[in-house]
Amino acid sequence: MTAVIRLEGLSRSFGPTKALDGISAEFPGGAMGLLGPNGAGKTTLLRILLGLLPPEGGRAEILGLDAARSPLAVRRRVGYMPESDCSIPRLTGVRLVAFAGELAGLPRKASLSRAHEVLYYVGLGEVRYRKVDEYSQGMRQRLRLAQAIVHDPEALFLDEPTSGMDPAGRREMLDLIRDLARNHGKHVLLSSHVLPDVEGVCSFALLLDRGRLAAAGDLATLRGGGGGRFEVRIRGRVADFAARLASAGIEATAGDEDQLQVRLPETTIPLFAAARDSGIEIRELRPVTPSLEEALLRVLRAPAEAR
Amino acid sequence: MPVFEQGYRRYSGSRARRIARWWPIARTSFRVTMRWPFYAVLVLASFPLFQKIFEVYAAGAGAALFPGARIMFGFSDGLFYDLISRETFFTVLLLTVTGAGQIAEDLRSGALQIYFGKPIRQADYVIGKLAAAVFSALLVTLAPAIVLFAACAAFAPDFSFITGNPLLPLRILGYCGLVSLSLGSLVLALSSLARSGRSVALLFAGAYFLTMLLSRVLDRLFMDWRFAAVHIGKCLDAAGRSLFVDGPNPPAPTDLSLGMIASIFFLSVLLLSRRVSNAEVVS
Repeated sequence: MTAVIRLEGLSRSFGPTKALDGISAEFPGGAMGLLGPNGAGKTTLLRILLGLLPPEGGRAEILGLDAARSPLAVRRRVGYMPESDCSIPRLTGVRLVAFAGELAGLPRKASLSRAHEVLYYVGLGEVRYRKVDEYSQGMRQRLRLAQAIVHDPEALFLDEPTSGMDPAGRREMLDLIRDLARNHGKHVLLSSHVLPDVEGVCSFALLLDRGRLAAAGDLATLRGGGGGRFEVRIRGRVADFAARLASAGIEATAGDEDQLQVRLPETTIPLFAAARDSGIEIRELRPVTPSLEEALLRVLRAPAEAR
Repeated sequence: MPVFEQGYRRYSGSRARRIARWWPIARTSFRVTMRWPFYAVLVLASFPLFQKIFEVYAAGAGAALFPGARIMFGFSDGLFYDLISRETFFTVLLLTVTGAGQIAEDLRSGALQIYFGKPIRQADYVIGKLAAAVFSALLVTLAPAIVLFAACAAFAPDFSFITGNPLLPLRILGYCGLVSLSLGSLVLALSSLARSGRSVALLFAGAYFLTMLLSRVLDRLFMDWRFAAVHIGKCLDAAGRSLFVDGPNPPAPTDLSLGMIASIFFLSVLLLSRRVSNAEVVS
Protein backbone atom coordinates (compact mmCIF):
# COMPACT_ATOMS: atom_id res chain seq x y z
CA MET A 1 0.00 0.00 0.00
CA THR A 2 1.31 3.48 -0.94
CA ALA A 3 1.89 5.82 1.97
CA VAL A 4 -0.20 8.99 1.94
CA ILE A 5 2.54 10.95 3.69
CA ARG A 6 6.18 9.90 3.50
CA LEU A 7 8.87 11.82 5.34
CA GLU A 8 12.50 11.01 4.59
CA GLY A 9 15.15 12.58 6.81
CA LEU A 10 13.24 15.86 6.95
CA SER A 11 15.24 18.70 8.50
CA ARG A 12 14.69 22.39 8.94
CA SER A 13 16.39 24.94 11.16
CA PHE A 14 15.59 28.50 12.11
CA GLY A 15 18.93 30.03 13.00
CA PRO A 16 20.52 27.86 15.68
CA THR A 17 17.21 26.14 16.48
CA LYS A 18 16.54 22.81 14.82
CA ALA A 19 12.80 22.81 14.24
CA LEU A 20 12.92 19.42 12.54
CA ASP A 21 15.85 17.07 12.88
CA GLY A 22 15.96 14.22 10.39
CA ILE A 23 12.37 13.03 10.67
CA SER A 24 11.49 9.87 8.79
CA ALA A 25 8.02 8.37 8.99
CA GLU A 26 5.21 6.99 6.87
CA PHE A 27 1.51 7.59 7.24
CA PRO A 28 -0.52 4.83 5.61
CA GLY A 29 -3.79 6.77 5.35
CA GLY A 30 -6.99 7.25 7.31
CA ALA A 31 -6.78 9.58 10.28
CA MET A 32 -3.46 10.44 11.87
CA GLY A 33 -2.78 12.60 14.93
CA LEU A 34 0.17 14.94 14.98
CA LEU A 35 1.14 15.35 18.59
CA GLY A 36 3.82 17.06 20.58
CA PRO A 37 4.45 19.78 23.11
CA ASN A 38 4.85 23.44 22.09
CA GLY A 39 7.98 23.92 20.02
CA ALA A 40 8.06 20.26 19.00
CA GLY A 41 8.02 21.14 15.28
CA LYS A 42 4.38 20.43 14.40
CA THR A 43 3.84 23.80 12.74
CA THR A 44 7.06 23.55 10.76
CA LEU A 45 6.07 20.07 9.60
CA LEU A 46 2.66 21.36 8.49
CA ARG A 47 4.30 24.24 6.62
CA ILE A 48 6.63 21.87 4.83
CA LEU A 49 3.82 19.47 3.99
CA LEU A 50 1.80 22.31 2.46
CA GLY A 51 4.80 23.42 0.43
CA LEU A 52 4.94 26.79 2.16
CA LEU A 53 8.40 26.20 3.55
CA PRO A 54 11.18 24.32 1.79
CA PRO A 55 12.98 21.70 3.87
CA GLU A 56 16.74 22.07 4.29
CA GLY A 57 17.30 18.35 4.15
CA GLY A 58 15.30 15.28 3.20
CA ARG A 59 11.96 15.30 1.48
CA ALA A 60 8.26 15.23 2.22
CA GLU A 61 5.90 13.41 -0.09
CA ILE A 62 2.12 13.76 0.08
CA LEU A 63 -0.19 11.71 -2.11
CA GLY A 64 2.83 10.82 -4.22
CA LEU A 65 3.80 14.48 -4.77
CA ASP A 66 6.99 16.12 -3.57
CA ALA A 67 5.81 19.01 -1.38
CA ALA A 68 8.83 21.19 -2.18
CA ARG A 69 8.74 20.64 -5.94
CA SER A 70 4.98 20.71 -6.53
CA PRO A 71 3.51 22.91 -3.80
CA LEU A 72 0.55 24.09 -5.89
CA ALA A 73 -0.37 20.55 -6.91
CA VAL A 74 -0.21 19.50 -3.25
CA ARG A 75 -2.47 22.34 -2.13
CA ARG A 76 -4.90 21.52 -4.94
CA ARG A 77 -5.37 18.05 -3.42
CA VAL A 78 -5.13 18.97 0.25
CA GLY A 79 -7.52 21.02 2.37
CA TYR A 80 -6.00 23.08 5.16
CA MET A 81 -7.86 24.28 8.23
CA PRO A 82 -5.73 26.82 10.11
CA GLU A 83 -5.69 27.01 13.88
CA SER A 84 -5.83 30.75 14.38
CA ASP A 85 -8.77 32.88 13.42
CA CYS A 86 -8.95 33.65 9.73
CA SER A 87 -11.64 35.17 7.58
CA ILE A 88 -12.09 37.75 4.87
CA PRO A 89 -13.91 40.72 6.35
CA ARG A 90 -17.21 41.89 4.87
CA LEU A 91 -17.86 38.66 2.98
CA THR A 92 -20.82 36.46 3.81
CA GLY A 93 -20.15 32.88 4.84
CA VAL A 94 -21.27 31.48 1.51
CA ARG A 95 -19.21 34.03 -0.46
CA LEU A 96 -16.11 33.26 1.55
CA VAL A 97 -16.40 29.50 1.07
CA ALA A 98 -17.19 29.94 -2.64
CA PHE A 99 -14.15 32.18 -2.96
CA ALA A 100 -12.01 29.52 -1.27
CA GLY A 101 -13.35 27.02 -3.80
CA GLU A 102 -12.41 29.30 -6.68
CA LEU A 103 -8.93 29.76 -5.26
CA ALA A 104 -8.63 25.99 -5.16
CA GLY A 105 -9.47 25.82 -8.87
CA LEU A 106 -13.21 25.14 -8.94
CA PRO A 107 -15.22 26.99 -11.62
CA ARG A 108 -17.15 29.98 -10.26
CA LYS A 109 -20.68 28.56 -10.45
CA ALA A 110 -19.67 25.12 -9.23
CA SER A 111 -17.80 26.66 -6.34
CA LEU A 112 -20.85 28.66 -5.23
CA SER A 113 -23.09 25.62 -5.38
CA ARG A 114 -20.49 23.57 -3.52
CA ALA A 115 -20.22 26.33 -0.87
CA HIS A 116 -23.93 25.95 -0.10
CA GLU A 117 -23.52 22.18 0.23
CA VAL A 118 -20.55 22.22 2.56
CA LEU A 119 -22.02 24.97 4.72
CA TYR A 120 -25.07 22.80 5.28
CA TYR A 121 -22.78 19.88 5.99
CA VAL A 122 -20.86 21.72 8.71
CA GLY A 123 -24.09 23.06 10.22
CA LEU A 124 -23.92 26.66 8.99
CA GLY A 125 -26.68 26.36 6.41
CA GLU A 126 -29.01 28.74 8.21
CA VAL A 127 -26.44 31.47 8.71
CA ARG A 128 -24.64 31.26 5.38
CA TYR A 129 -25.84 34.68 4.23
CA ARG A 130 -24.59 36.42 7.36
CA LYS A 131 -21.32 38.35 7.23
CA VAL A 132 -18.47 36.34 8.70
CA ASP A 133 -17.62 39.27 11.00
CA GLU A 134 -20.84 38.43 12.88
CA TYR A 135 -20.04 34.74 13.37
CA SER A 136 -19.35 33.35 16.83
CA GLN A 137 -16.10 31.54 17.64
CA GLY A 138 -17.69 28.12 17.11
CA MET A 139 -19.22 29.20 13.80
CA ARG A 140 -15.88 30.53 12.61
CA GLN A 141 -14.28 27.21 13.43
CA ARG A 142 -16.89 25.41 11.32
CA LEU A 143 -16.40 27.96 8.57
CA ARG A 144 -12.68 27.14 8.56
CA LEU A 145 -13.53 23.49 8.08
CA ALA A 146 -15.97 24.37 5.29
CA GLN A 147 -13.37 26.37 3.35
CA ALA A 148 -10.93 23.48 3.75
CA ILE A 149 -13.29 20.88 2.27
CA VAL A 150 -15.05 22.98 -0.36
CA HIS A 151 -12.85 21.65 -3.18
CA ASP A 152 -13.31 18.04 -2.02
CA PRO A 153 -9.65 17.41 -1.22
CA GLU A 154 -8.21 13.93 -0.82
CA ALA A 155 -6.39 14.87 2.38
CA LEU A 156 -7.17 17.31 5.16
CA PHE A 157 -4.68 19.04 7.43
CA LEU A 158 -6.51 20.24 10.52
CA ASP A 159 -4.66 22.43 12.99
CA GLU A 160 -6.33 22.39 16.42
CA PRO A 161 -9.83 22.09 14.94
CA THR A 162 -11.64 22.20 18.28
CA SER A 163 -9.76 25.04 19.94
CA GLY A 164 -12.06 27.61 21.50
CA MET A 165 -15.19 25.49 21.07
CA ASP A 166 -17.69 24.63 23.79
CA PRO A 167 -18.10 20.93 24.69
CA ALA A 168 -21.14 20.42 22.46
CA GLY A 169 -19.52 22.19 19.53
CA ARG A 170 -16.34 20.23 20.07
CA ARG A 171 -18.22 16.93 19.96
CA GLU A 172 -20.00 17.99 16.77
CA MET A 173 -16.74 19.05 15.14
CA LEU A 174 -15.18 15.70 15.99
CA ASP A 175 -18.25 13.95 14.58
CA LEU A 176 -17.72 15.80 11.31
CA ILE A 177 -14.03 14.95 11.14
CA ARG A 178 -14.72 11.32 11.98
CA ASP A 179 -17.40 11.21 9.29
CA LEU A 180 -15.04 12.67 6.70
CA ALA A 181 -12.30 10.22 7.59
CA ARG A 182 -14.36 7.06 7.98
CA ASN A 183 -17.25 7.48 5.56
CA HIS A 184 -15.84 9.69 2.84
CA GLY A 185 -12.32 8.39 2.45
CA LYS A 186 -10.49 11.55 3.47
CA HIS A 187 -6.99 11.20 4.84
CA VAL A 188 -6.93 13.41 7.91
CA LEU A 189 -3.85 14.81 9.61
CA LEU A 190 -5.04 16.19 12.92
CA SER A 191 -2.62 18.40 14.83
CA SER A 192 -3.93 18.84 18.35
CA HIS A 193 -2.95 19.29 21.98
CA VAL A 194 -6.22 17.73 23.08
CA LEU A 195 -5.37 14.04 23.30
CA PRO A 196 -8.97 12.80 23.70
CA ASP A 197 -9.71 14.49 20.34
CA VAL A 198 -6.94 12.49 18.72
CA GLU A 199 -8.01 9.31 20.48
CA GLY A 200 -11.58 9.81 19.33
CA VAL A 201 -10.76 10.32 15.68
CA CYS A 202 -7.38 8.87 14.79
CA SER A 203 -6.04 5.38 14.52
CA PHE A 204 -2.45 6.43 13.99
CA ALA A 205 -0.28 9.07 15.67
CA LEU A 206 3.03 10.75 15.19
CA LEU A 207 4.66 12.27 18.25
CA LEU A 208 7.27 14.97 17.86
CA ASP A 209 9.55 16.23 20.57
CA ARG A 210 12.08 19.03 20.08
CA GLY A 211 12.16 18.46 16.33
CA ARG A 212 12.69 14.74 16.60
CA LEU A 213 10.35 11.86 16.06
CA ALA A 214 9.58 10.54 19.53
CA ALA A 215 7.10 7.85 18.52
CA ALA A 216 4.92 6.84 15.60
CA GLY A 217 2.45 4.05 15.12
CA ASP A 218 -1.13 3.02 15.64
CA LEU A 219 -2.70 4.19 18.87
CA ALA A 220 -3.05 0.71 20.39
CA THR A 221 0.68 0.12 20.00
CA LEU A 222 1.54 3.57 21.32
CA ARG A 223 -0.61 3.08 24.39
CA GLY A 224 1.03 -0.28 25.10
CA GLY A 225 -0.58 -2.98 27.21
CA GLY A 226 -1.79 -2.51 30.76
CA GLY A 227 0.91 -4.89 32.04
CA GLY A 228 -1.69 -7.25 33.57
CA ARG A 229 -3.36 -4.51 35.62
CA PHE A 230 -7.04 -4.98 36.41
CA GLU A 231 -9.64 -2.93 38.17
CA VAL A 232 -11.81 -5.05 40.48
CA ARG A 233 -15.09 -4.14 42.18
CA ILE A 234 -16.15 -6.38 45.02
CA ARG A 235 -18.89 -6.85 47.60
CA GLY A 236 -17.12 -7.02 50.96
CA ARG A 237 -14.34 -5.24 52.83
CA VAL A 238 -11.81 -3.88 50.35
CA ALA A 239 -8.97 -3.50 52.89
CA ASP A 240 -9.28 -7.08 54.12
CA PHE A 241 -9.37 -8.43 50.58
CA ALA A 242 -6.33 -6.37 49.59
CA ALA A 243 -4.44 -7.82 52.57
CA ARG A 244 -5.56 -11.33 51.60
CA LEU A 245 -4.31 -10.79 48.03
CA ALA A 246 -0.99 -9.43 49.29
CA SER A 247 -0.49 -12.50 51.45
CA ALA A 248 -1.15 -14.62 48.31
CA GLY A 249 1.62 -12.69 46.51
CA ILE A 250 -0.70 -10.58 44.35
CA GLU A 251 0.09 -6.87 44.06
CA ALA A 252 -3.09 -5.03 45.08
CA THR A 253 -3.97 -1.41 45.84
CA ALA A 254 -7.21 -0.55 47.61
CA GLY A 255 -9.16 2.21 45.93
CA ASP A 256 -12.28 4.00 47.06
CA GLU A 257 -15.30 2.17 48.49
CA ASP A 258 -15.63 -1.17 46.68
CA GLN A 259 -12.80 -0.88 44.20
CA LEU A 260 -9.19 -2.02 44.06
CA GLN A 261 -6.48 -2.40 41.45
CA VAL A 262 -4.61 -5.66 41.11
CA ARG A 263 -1.72 -6.83 39.01
CA LEU A 264 -2.12 -10.26 37.46
CA PRO A 265 0.62 -10.69 34.88
CA GLU A 266 -0.29 -14.23 33.80
CA THR A 267 -3.75 -15.40 34.83
CA THR A 268 -6.76 -14.26 36.85
CA ILE A 269 -7.16 -17.63 38.62
CA PRO A 270 -5.31 -16.56 41.84
CA LEU A 271 -7.71 -13.62 42.19
CA PHE A 272 -10.81 -15.79 42.01
CA ALA A 273 -9.22 -18.34 44.36
CA ALA A 274 -8.51 -15.62 46.93
CA ALA A 275 -12.06 -14.29 46.59
CA ARG A 276 -13.51 -17.75 47.12
CA ASP A 277 -11.34 -18.34 50.19
CA SER A 278 -12.29 -14.92 51.71
CA GLY A 279 -15.97 -15.20 50.88
CA ILE A 280 -15.76 -12.08 48.68
CA GLU A 281 -18.05 -11.61 45.70
CA ILE A 282 -16.37 -10.14 42.61
CA ARG A 283 -18.84 -7.82 40.90
CA GLU A 284 -16.66 -6.46 38.10
CA LEU A 285 -13.28 -7.21 36.62
CA ARG A 286 -11.85 -5.21 33.77
CA PRO A 287 -8.36 -4.66 32.36
CA VAL A 288 -6.81 -1.25 32.86
CA THR A 289 -5.73 0.36 29.57
CA PRO A 290 -3.33 3.26 29.90
CA SER A 291 -4.60 6.49 28.32
CA LEU A 292 -2.80 7.99 25.36
CA GLU A 293 -1.74 10.82 27.66
CA GLU A 294 -0.02 8.43 30.06
CA ALA A 295 1.65 6.62 27.19
CA LEU A 296 2.89 9.81 25.57
CA LEU A 297 4.16 11.23 28.83
CA ARG A 298 6.05 7.99 29.31
CA VAL A 299 7.63 8.38 25.87
CA LEU A 300 8.46 12.06 26.39
CA ARG A 301 10.03 11.45 29.80
CA ALA A 302 12.19 8.62 28.55
CA PRO A 303 15.72 9.62 27.49
CA ALA A 304 15.99 10.19 23.73
CA GLU A 305 18.36 7.24 23.21
CA ALA A 306 15.95 4.86 24.94
CA ARG A 307 13.09 5.59 22.52
CA MET B 1 -28.80 13.33 15.67
CA PRO B 2 -25.61 14.36 13.90
CA VAL B 3 -24.87 18.05 13.50
CA PHE B 4 -24.73 17.92 9.73
CA GLU B 5 -28.07 18.71 8.22
CA GLN B 6 -26.96 17.30 4.90
CA GLY B 7 -24.46 14.56 4.18
CA TYR B 8 -21.14 15.24 2.57
CA ARG B 9 -21.16 14.91 -1.18
CA ARG B 10 -18.17 14.30 -3.37
CA TYR B 11 -17.45 16.90 -6.04
CA SER B 12 -17.57 15.39 -9.49
CA GLY B 13 -17.41 18.54 -11.63
CA SER B 14 -14.46 19.97 -13.50
CA ARG B 15 -11.44 21.55 -11.91
CA ALA B 16 -10.13 24.48 -13.86
CA ARG B 17 -6.37 24.81 -14.31
CA ARG B 18 -6.49 28.56 -14.18
CA ILE B 19 -3.64 30.49 -15.73
CA ALA B 20 -4.85 33.77 -14.20
CA ARG B 21 -5.05 32.54 -10.61
CA TRP B 22 -5.12 36.17 -9.52
CA TRP B 23 -8.47 36.80 -11.17
CA PRO B 24 -10.77 35.55 -8.35
CA ILE B 25 -8.65 37.55 -5.88
CA ALA B 26 -9.02 40.71 -7.95
CA ARG B 27 -12.76 40.21 -8.36
CA THR B 28 -13.43 39.51 -4.69
CA SER B 29 -11.14 42.30 -3.49
CA PHE B 30 -12.92 44.77 -5.73
CA ARG B 31 -16.31 43.52 -4.57
CA VAL B 32 -15.55 44.15 -0.89
CA THR B 33 -14.47 47.73 -1.61
CA MET B 34 -17.87 48.67 -2.99
CA ARG B 35 -19.27 50.49 0.02
CA TRP B 36 -20.77 53.96 0.32
CA PRO B 37 -17.43 55.88 0.37
CA PHE B 38 -16.60 54.26 -2.95
CA TYR B 39 -19.80 55.53 -4.54
CA ALA B 40 -19.42 58.95 -2.87
CA VAL B 41 -15.98 59.43 -4.47
CA LEU B 42 -17.34 58.29 -7.83
CA VAL B 43 -20.03 60.97 -7.64
CA LEU B 44 -17.50 63.65 -6.66
CA ALA B 45 -15.13 62.53 -9.41
CA SER B 46 -17.83 63.01 -12.03
CA PHE B 47 -17.98 66.83 -11.56
CA PRO B 48 -14.82 67.62 -13.57
CA LEU B 49 -16.19 65.37 -16.31
CA PHE B 50 -19.50 67.25 -16.44
CA GLN B 51 -17.60 70.51 -16.67
CA LYS B 52 -15.51 69.23 -19.57
CA ILE B 53 -18.57 67.87 -21.34
CA PHE B 54 -20.18 71.29 -21.05
CA GLU B 55 -17.06 72.90 -22.54
CA VAL B 56 -17.06 70.46 -25.42
CA TYR B 57 -20.78 71.01 -26.02
CA ALA B 58 -20.32 74.76 -25.95
CA ALA B 59 -17.45 74.60 -28.42
CA GLY B 60 -19.25 72.22 -30.74
CA ALA B 61 -22.98 71.73 -30.97
CA GLY B 62 -23.72 74.67 -28.65
CA ALA B 63 -21.55 77.14 -30.61
CA ALA B 64 -24.64 78.30 -32.48
CA LEU B 65 -26.19 79.38 -29.17
CA PHE B 66 -22.96 80.72 -27.63
CA PRO B 67 -20.91 82.13 -30.52
CA GLY B 68 -17.93 83.04 -28.33
CA ALA B 69 -17.66 79.54 -26.89
CA ARG B 70 -15.67 78.15 -29.80
CA ILE B 71 -12.93 80.67 -29.01
CA MET B 72 -12.96 79.97 -25.25
CA PHE B 73 -13.03 76.19 -25.48
CA GLY B 74 -11.75 73.80 -28.07
CA PHE B 75 -11.31 70.20 -29.10
CA SER B 76 -7.75 69.41 -28.16
CA ASP B 77 -5.93 66.57 -26.46
CA GLY B 78 -4.96 69.11 -23.76
CA LEU B 79 -8.57 68.79 -22.72
CA PHE B 80 -7.91 65.16 -21.76
CA TYR B 81 -4.69 65.97 -19.99
CA ASP B 82 -6.56 68.56 -17.94
CA LEU B 83 -9.36 66.12 -17.08
CA ILE B 84 -7.10 63.22 -16.08
CA SER B 85 -4.70 65.38 -14.06
CA ARG B 86 -7.68 66.75 -12.13
CA GLU B 87 -9.01 63.24 -11.63
CA THR B 88 -5.66 62.25 -10.07
CA PHE B 89 -6.85 63.93 -6.87
CA PHE B 90 -9.99 61.76 -6.88
CA THR B 91 -7.86 58.69 -7.57
CA VAL B 92 -5.94 59.44 -4.38
CA LEU B 93 -9.24 59.94 -2.56
CA LEU B 94 -10.71 56.69 -3.92
CA LEU B 95 -7.62 54.65 -3.11
CA THR B 96 -7.54 56.16 0.37
CA VAL B 97 -11.02 54.85 1.13
CA THR B 98 -10.88 51.58 -0.79
CA GLY B 99 -7.27 50.51 -1.28
CA ALA B 100 -5.81 51.27 2.13
CA GLY B 101 -7.37 48.25 3.83
CA GLN B 102 -6.78 45.76 1.01
CA ILE B 103 -3.78 44.01 2.56
CA ALA B 104 -3.90 45.50 6.06
CA GLU B 105 -7.28 43.90 6.73
CA ASP B 106 -6.11 40.57 5.33
CA LEU B 107 -3.16 40.68 7.72
CA ARG B 108 -5.39 41.57 10.66
CA SER B 109 -8.02 38.93 9.94
CA GLY B 110 -5.53 36.17 9.11
CA ALA B 111 -6.94 35.87 5.60
CA LEU B 112 -3.51 35.04 4.18
CA GLN B 113 -3.95 31.60 5.70
CA ILE B 114 -6.97 31.09 3.49
CA TYR B 115 -5.18 32.36 0.39
CA PHE B 116 -1.94 30.43 0.85
CA GLY B 117 -3.64 27.26 2.05
CA LYS B 118 -4.90 27.09 -1.54
CA PRO B 119 -2.89 26.69 -4.76
CA ILE B 120 -2.02 30.38 -4.86
CA ARG B 121 1.44 31.93 -5.16
CA GLN B 122 2.59 35.13 -3.58
CA ALA B 123 2.68 36.78 -7.01
CA ASP B 124 -0.96 35.76 -7.70
CA TYR B 125 -2.02 37.42 -4.46
CA VAL B 126 -0.12 40.66 -5.13
CA ILE B 127 -1.27 40.86 -8.76
CA GLY B 128 -4.88 40.20 -7.71
CA LYS B 129 -4.82 42.95 -5.11
CA LEU B 130 -3.05 45.35 -7.48
CA ALA B 131 -5.57 44.62 -10.23
CA ALA B 132 -8.43 45.49 -7.86
CA ALA B 133 -6.78 48.77 -6.85
CA VAL B 134 -5.90 49.68 -10.45
CA PHE B 135 -9.42 48.90 -11.64
CA SER B 136 -10.87 51.18 -8.93
CA ALA B 137 -8.48 53.93 -9.99
CA LEU B 138 -9.35 53.48 -13.66
CA LEU B 139 -12.99 54.11 -12.81
CA VAL B 140 -12.11 57.72 -11.95
CA THR B 141 -9.46 58.23 -14.65
CA LEU B 142 -10.06 56.10 -17.73
CA ALA B 143 -13.86 55.89 -17.49
CA PRO B 144 -14.39 59.71 -17.48
CA ALA B 145 -11.81 60.06 -20.26
CA ILE B 146 -13.73 57.55 -22.40
CA VAL B 147 -16.98 59.43 -21.77
CA LEU B 148 -15.29 62.71 -22.69
CA PHE B 149 -13.87 61.15 -25.84
CA ALA B 150 -17.36 59.99 -26.82
CA ALA B 151 -18.73 63.47 -26.06
CA CYS B 152 -16.04 65.09 -28.21
CA ALA B 153 -16.83 62.74 -31.06
CA ALA B 154 -20.55 63.46 -30.68
CA PHE B 155 -20.41 67.25 -30.34
CA ALA B 156 -17.63 68.00 -32.81
CA PRO B 157 -18.83 69.70 -35.99
CA ASP B 158 -17.04 67.16 -38.19
CA PHE B 159 -14.82 64.05 -38.01
CA SER B 160 -11.62 66.06 -37.73
CA PHE B 161 -11.46 65.34 -33.99
CA ILE B 162 -11.15 61.60 -34.59
CA THR B 163 -9.10 61.72 -37.75
CA GLY B 164 -6.83 64.46 -36.41
CA ASN B 165 -5.97 62.65 -33.14
CA PRO B 166 -5.19 59.04 -34.06
CA LEU B 167 -2.90 58.50 -31.08
CA LEU B 168 -5.17 60.15 -28.53
CA PRO B 169 -6.74 56.88 -27.22
CA LEU B 170 -3.25 55.48 -26.61
CA ARG B 171 -2.16 58.65 -24.79
CA ILE B 172 -5.26 58.53 -22.62
CA LEU B 173 -4.64 54.87 -21.85
CA GLY B 174 -0.97 55.51 -21.05
CA TYR B 175 -1.62 58.42 -18.72
CA CYS B 176 -4.52 56.70 -16.92
CA GLY B 177 -2.46 53.52 -16.61
CA LEU B 178 0.49 55.42 -15.17
CA VAL B 179 -1.66 57.23 -12.59
CA SER B 180 -3.57 54.10 -11.58
CA LEU B 181 -0.60 51.74 -11.45
CA SER B 182 1.74 54.03 -9.52
CA LEU B 183 -0.83 55.18 -6.96
CA GLY B 184 -2.35 51.69 -6.71
CA SER B 185 1.00 50.02 -6.01
CA LEU B 186 1.92 52.73 -3.50
CA VAL B 187 -1.28 52.36 -1.49
CA LEU B 188 -0.93 48.55 -1.47
CA ALA B 189 2.69 48.74 -0.32
CA LEU B 190 1.64 51.01 2.54
CA SER B 191 -1.27 48.69 3.26
CA SER B 192 1.13 45.78 3.75
CA LEU B 193 2.93 47.73 6.50
CA ALA B 194 0.02 47.89 8.93
CA ARG B 195 -2.92 45.89 10.20
CA SER B 196 -5.36 48.77 10.26
CA GLY B 197 -6.91 50.19 7.10
CA ARG B 198 -7.53 53.52 8.81
CA SER B 199 -3.87 53.96 9.71
CA VAL B 200 -2.89 53.21 6.13
CA ALA B 201 -5.51 55.65 4.81
CA LEU B 202 -4.09 58.39 7.03
CA LEU B 203 -0.54 57.51 6.01
CA PHE B 204 -1.32 57.49 2.29
CA ALA B 205 -3.38 60.67 2.25
CA GLY B 206 -0.94 62.34 4.66
CA ALA B 207 2.08 61.42 2.53
CA TYR B 208 0.35 62.70 -0.61
CA PHE B 209 -0.69 66.06 0.78
CA LEU B 210 2.43 66.65 2.88
CA THR B 211 4.75 66.02 -0.07
CA MET B 212 2.58 68.39 -2.11
CA LEU B 213 3.10 71.06 0.54
CA LEU B 214 6.78 70.25 0.81
CA SER B 215 7.33 70.51 -2.93
CA ARG B 216 5.77 73.98 -2.97
CA VAL B 217 7.77 75.19 0.00
CA LEU B 218 11.06 73.87 -1.43
CA ASP B 219 10.26 75.29 -4.86
CA ARG B 220 9.65 78.74 -3.38
CA LEU B 221 12.66 78.58 -1.10
CA PHE B 222 15.25 77.42 -3.60
CA MET B 223 13.56 78.56 -6.80
CA ASP B 224 14.41 75.18 -8.28
CA TRP B 225 11.61 73.30 -10.07
CA ARG B 226 13.34 69.94 -9.55
CA PHE B 227 12.03 69.97 -5.98
CA ALA B 228 8.53 69.61 -7.37
CA ALA B 229 9.41 65.96 -8.06
CA VAL B 230 9.19 65.08 -4.36
CA HIS B 231 5.42 65.02 -4.87
CA ILE B 232 4.05 62.07 -6.84
CA GLY B 233 1.12 64.17 -8.06
CA LYS B 234 3.50 66.64 -9.74
CA CYS B 235 5.50 63.76 -11.21
CA LEU B 236 2.34 62.29 -12.70
CA ASP B 237 1.37 65.73 -14.04
CA ALA B 238 4.75 66.06 -15.69
CA ALA B 239 4.53 62.56 -17.16
CA GLY B 240 1.05 63.37 -18.48
CA ARG B 241 2.30 66.58 -20.01
CA SER B 242 4.94 64.65 -21.91
CA LEU B 243 2.23 62.43 -23.37
CA PHE B 244 -0.14 65.24 -24.39
CA VAL B 245 1.73 67.54 -26.72
CA ASP B 246 -0.30 70.68 -26.32
CA GLY B 247 -0.73 70.60 -22.54
CA PRO B 248 0.65 73.33 -20.29
CA ASN B 249 4.28 73.56 -19.19
CA PRO B 250 5.27 70.60 -17.02
CA PRO B 251 5.30 71.26 -13.27
CA ALA B 252 8.50 69.19 -12.80
CA PRO B 253 11.33 67.92 -15.04
CA THR B 254 9.92 65.06 -17.11
CA ASP B 255 12.92 62.72 -16.84
CA LEU B 256 13.16 63.15 -13.11
CA SER B 257 9.41 62.65 -12.75
CA LEU B 258 9.41 59.44 -14.77
CA GLY B 259 12.36 58.20 -12.70
CA MET B 260 10.51 58.98 -9.48
CA ILE B 261 7.37 57.18 -10.68
CA ALA B 262 9.38 54.11 -11.74
CA SER B 263 11.24 54.11 -8.40
CA ILE B 264 8.01 54.34 -6.41
CA PHE B 265 6.52 51.49 -8.41
CA PHE B 266 9.51 49.17 -8.04
CA LEU B 267 9.99 49.97 -4.36
CA SER B 268 6.31 49.28 -3.77
CA VAL B 269 6.50 45.92 -5.53
CA LEU B 270 9.66 45.04 -3.58
CA LEU B 271 8.01 45.95 -0.30
CA LEU B 272 4.91 43.94 -1.21
CA SER B 273 6.95 40.85 -2.06
CA ARG B 274 8.76 41.05 1.29
CA ARG B 275 5.78 41.87 3.48
CA VAL B 276 3.41 39.33 1.98
CA SER B 277 5.93 36.50 2.06
CA ASN B 278 6.90 37.32 5.65
CA ALA B 279 3.33 37.12 6.84
CA GLU B 280 2.48 34.20 9.08
CA VAL B 281 0.63 31.61 7.09
CA VAL B 282 0.52 28.83 9.64
CA SER B 283 0.31 30.19 13.13
